[in-house]
Amino acid sequence: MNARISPAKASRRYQTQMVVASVTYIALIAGTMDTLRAKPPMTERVLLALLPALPIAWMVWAVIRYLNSADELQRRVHIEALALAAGITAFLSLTYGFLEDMAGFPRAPLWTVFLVIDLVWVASGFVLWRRYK
Amino acid sequence: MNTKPRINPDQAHRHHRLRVMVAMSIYVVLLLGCAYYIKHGHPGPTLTVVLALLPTIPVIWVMWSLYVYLTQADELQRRVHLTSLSMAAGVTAFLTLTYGFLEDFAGFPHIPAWWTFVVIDLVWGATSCVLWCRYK
Repeated sequence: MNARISPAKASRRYQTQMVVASVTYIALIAGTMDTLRAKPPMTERVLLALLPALPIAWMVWAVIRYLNSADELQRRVHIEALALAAGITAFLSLTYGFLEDMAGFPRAPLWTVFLVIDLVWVASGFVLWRRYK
Repeated sequence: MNTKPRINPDQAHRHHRLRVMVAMSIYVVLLLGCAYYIKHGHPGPTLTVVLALLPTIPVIWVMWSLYVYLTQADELQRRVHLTSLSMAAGVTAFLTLTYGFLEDFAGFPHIPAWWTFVVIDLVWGATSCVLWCRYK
């Protein structure tokens, strides 16, 4: 992981990319919603449903680029926080999966997993950051 | 993460492997036993929830064991695991959101929640293999 630009610059670039990607994401969701509600043919529906995933892929790529050029502490905090998010989400989804399958709990839409990963990442990143400061 | 090794990394790895094997054996027994009892024993709603949650106890043990192992592992092992776990978080977040859209908007069939666990584990395993080969 060799940094070609300064960590501060990397952080700024990351923030800009995240804002632009989020705006694109919201615009795509809002833009495709009405067409999707009208139940277009299957191929079109799948393509439209997949469109908002593009800015998300951009966000994932932005995080990877940011981590490559961030300073050692930022990288460490983010990687530990993301690893915790993976572990905690794996555990929670297994637990809820059992409740769904065996105890008849209502089905959780899959995008809640995305939310849980993000929330745990932000929360544990915050805790780790304060600890290292 | 507190990273002061109190035992040597090889020993830590052996301990972790042993704990995971014991925990996973308990898990399989509990899962099969609970699933069988819920299906054929017709327990009440509270007992059903308790039985459905029982197999997660050895999984907590595995996660705790992984945490202990990562604090005692050598720098390279720790780095490989933390990087591959964080990649698993990213890839899984992307995949679940994508499939969530297909589920909600394109009428794709619902996937049970425990599949997320399988995906996280598979991505983790695959990326740590790749990283491990790269660092060797």
